[in-house]
Amino acid sequence: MGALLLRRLVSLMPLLLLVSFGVYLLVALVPGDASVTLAGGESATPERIAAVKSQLHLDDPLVEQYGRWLGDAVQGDLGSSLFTHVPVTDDIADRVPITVGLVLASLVVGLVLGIPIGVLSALRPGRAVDGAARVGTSVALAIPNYWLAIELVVLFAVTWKLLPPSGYVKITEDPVEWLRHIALPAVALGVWSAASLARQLRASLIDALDSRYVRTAWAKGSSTKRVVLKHAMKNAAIPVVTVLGLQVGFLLGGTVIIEQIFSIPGLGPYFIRGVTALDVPVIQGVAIVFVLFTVVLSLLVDISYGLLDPRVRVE
Amino acid sequence: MTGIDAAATDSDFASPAAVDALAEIAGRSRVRGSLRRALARPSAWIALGFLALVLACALFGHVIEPYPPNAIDVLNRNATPSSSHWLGTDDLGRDILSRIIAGAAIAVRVSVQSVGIAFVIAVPIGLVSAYVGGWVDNVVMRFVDAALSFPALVLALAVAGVLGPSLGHAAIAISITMLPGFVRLVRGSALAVKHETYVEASRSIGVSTRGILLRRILPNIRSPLIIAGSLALGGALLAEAGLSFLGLSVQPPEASWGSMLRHAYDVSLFTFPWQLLIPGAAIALTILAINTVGDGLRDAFSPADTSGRRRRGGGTRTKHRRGLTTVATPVPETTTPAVAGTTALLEVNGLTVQFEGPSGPVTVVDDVSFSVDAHEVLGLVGESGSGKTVTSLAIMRLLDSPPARIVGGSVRFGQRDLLRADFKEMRRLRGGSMAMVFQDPMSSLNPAFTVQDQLAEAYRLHRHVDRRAARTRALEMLDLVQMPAAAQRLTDYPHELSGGMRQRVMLAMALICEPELLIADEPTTALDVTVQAQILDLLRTLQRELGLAIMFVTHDLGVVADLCDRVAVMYAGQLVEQASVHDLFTSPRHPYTEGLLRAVPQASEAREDALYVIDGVVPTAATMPTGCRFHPRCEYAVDACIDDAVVLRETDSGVSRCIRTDELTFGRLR
Repeated sequence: MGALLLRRLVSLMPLLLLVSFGVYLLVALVPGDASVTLAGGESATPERIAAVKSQLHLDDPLVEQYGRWLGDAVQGDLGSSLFTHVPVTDDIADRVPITVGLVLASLVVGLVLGIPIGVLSALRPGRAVDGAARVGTSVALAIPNYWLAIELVVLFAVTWKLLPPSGYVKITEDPVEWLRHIALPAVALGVWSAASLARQLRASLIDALDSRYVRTAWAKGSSTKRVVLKHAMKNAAIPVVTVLGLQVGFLLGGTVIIEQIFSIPGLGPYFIRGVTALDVPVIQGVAIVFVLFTVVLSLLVDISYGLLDPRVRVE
Repeated sequence: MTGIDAAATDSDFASPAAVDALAEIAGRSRVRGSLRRALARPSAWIALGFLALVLACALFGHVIEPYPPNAIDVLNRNATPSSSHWLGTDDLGRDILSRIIAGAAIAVRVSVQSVGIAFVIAVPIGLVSAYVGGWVDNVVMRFVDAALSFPALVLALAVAGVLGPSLGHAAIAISITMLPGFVRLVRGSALAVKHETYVEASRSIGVSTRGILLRRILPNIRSPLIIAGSLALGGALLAEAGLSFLGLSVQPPEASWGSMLRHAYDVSLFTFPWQLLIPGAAIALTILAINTVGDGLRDAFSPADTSGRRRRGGGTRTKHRRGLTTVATPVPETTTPAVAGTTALLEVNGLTVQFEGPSGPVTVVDDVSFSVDAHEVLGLVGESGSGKTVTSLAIMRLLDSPPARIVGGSVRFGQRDLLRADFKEMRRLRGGSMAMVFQDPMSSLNPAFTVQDQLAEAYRLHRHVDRRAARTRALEMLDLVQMPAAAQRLTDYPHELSGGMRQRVMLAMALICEPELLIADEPTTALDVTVQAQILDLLRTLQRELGLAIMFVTHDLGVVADLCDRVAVMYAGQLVEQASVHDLFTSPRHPYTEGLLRAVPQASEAREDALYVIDGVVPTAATMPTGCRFHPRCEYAVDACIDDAVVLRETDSGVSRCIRTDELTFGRLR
């Protein structure tokens, strides 16, 4: 397992190099004279333009700029914000735990809702439960999470006043308050993930229940519970884990808007502020962190394959 | 498709026109049939209707809009829905309905634009990558992998932000996020058809690469592309609304659904929250409609996957239990007399099994009776489709209900009628006193558990022993089935074993609780010839040592002669002959048995004449002939065979379902 992990990590290096170059290239997309645009447009003072130019080394060739940026990034230096001059790495380090907490909480919502729905509809395909699940998941997959978030605020915070409409409390300060603040955003993000999990689980569980090894399990004299939860489930879990891995990527993207709506001080609002202000080091820094997350996650998914599917472990 | 493939193989690829025609038919017939299927469901029609409405709003918005969408009316602010403002007005008195209609144009434009841009770029890259292969493909796929590791929304935000907020930039940003997925899809689909007959044929007659890509491959991968494209429209709409919500797409005062939502959120969240409902619902409903149409298309293009749609159980409201074949109650009495005496271990009497088909129930096993004595080996023989496997699964009640249903007969095992047993009773018997091994040991063993897990489980389901005792027993069984290096095999997974070893594990698992009866359903068919012989030897040894009764299901009469005491022959769901092995081989009493015997290769036959083949195939429910079911393939058939169904009649050696059994002398020699 250790060797597998190492090999996978090494094979990720070229990918990360390519991605980081892509991230860096965002500077090249800036319209007009980058230093002028980034300094705030035509009204920018010549001193400001010069400062931006020297901070980003915009006079150097692109490859050289990238090389310097990458060298610094590897050492944990993603540059400083063009406006606040706070090191991007510091800002990100403060915000990562908050965003990760939200993603995990949404995943929990997704699993807690998605697994029972998936199992129930797989056990009664074509019946009422399955039909209801089908309609429910279709609707859940069509609702934009930011709209759901707003409607949840309208109901739970504005109308019923059960939960706070926005804001954030650190879990280390007050776990209960953290939960109260994270509940609505986690549900807003997690409902979608529950729907897609339920669908995937339904499909793969139906396949597994149709399989010959399940027939063997019946032929041995297994109980229904044993057949479904042991024999079928372990095999059905494999494609579900793939979906789970992909989902975390989507959830990470989703946190950007959701954190903005709920004023959660995670990476989302920081990124949006960076994007609207064209604060290039911030945009690059957050983008590369998001990519790192996705890559590490797909690695975790690969590892869990090995735990679930012995065929992968050997290869 | 198979017909077309066959046609393409048979023709000599004489003319380019012929190849063209074939490729055309292959593509077109699929698309037409699929569209018909996609629209079979009312939900698809409703969704299409809704999308047509959205499209109409987008195209003729300026005609339909009751008010100019940006017209401010300060006297009419935050009006509730009324006859003059159907959906009310916003905080500036702008008519919400008009703004929703105006927003439809933005939604349609940006979706079509971004999916279009992504397709125009992705299709050539994907096609070339698949067709050229090699390093080109490698490089393309590395870029695709890299791009796919960006969360899509983050990438879209970054690009849209850097380019500057506008609708056009939003469309570009969205299409960039869709690009890698499309490239991968086009490449994957193209790879799948690259080696199809019509593509190879085109290449062999000298069609240019460009011609092959555009006129052979592209038309044949259109179904996945249509599906992905239609679903991507929803994704694009969602992304645009997200970008507008964040102020990175259209700029105020222009109305888009996302920006309306944002505006209402900013100014009316605590005061007029219903204003948030309308733009959100517009986005959600449109995406729901797109997904419904897209899912419909996907289901229609892959008719194999109908698991969810199947209306199970037909008109009957029978309650089915998973893992136990349903028996129609009350089981009707059957007319066939019991064949064997009352001493039999297993006595199957008039067993009739139906499958729920699209046009009503189909009888696949019809009034089958036979028996297996203790310590006896019965061969159940027939071609594929004769119903022998269904019969053996029905005895264990392992057929899935739905679609299977046992509608008649009795299955007595010891003192019990298995067709009256409940699930609990069947559970005790299965793997206990009656066990089964299946045809394909790879798919029949659970890939996710070790040999030891699966063996010990089989033991502990019936014996109250601890793990260690179960492990010892598992090892003992592996030794019994002559597993090489048995102790090391315990921790192996099925995929680490050879085919023969897997079947030994299946046997060990079946025999671990010392059953009285073993039902072996073609246990050697999936194995190599040499391994087959070893497994048969093993079965013979075990049968003698353990005093097992075996019901051996096979299509191979050579194996039957080797192993069995008595033989029952099945054809088209019916029993056609039953006799002792000796009688059956020396003087078969049914033309089908004779045909099977003549089809067995003989070691003594050094002659050059081809092996005998019974003409034709086993009929299906749709092609079931009248009268004797075998008559269309029978060389002895007379007019009387065509008219009336033939009943089993006693012969001096057993039973036979042939009206001419007494007058004809069948022989195995030609």
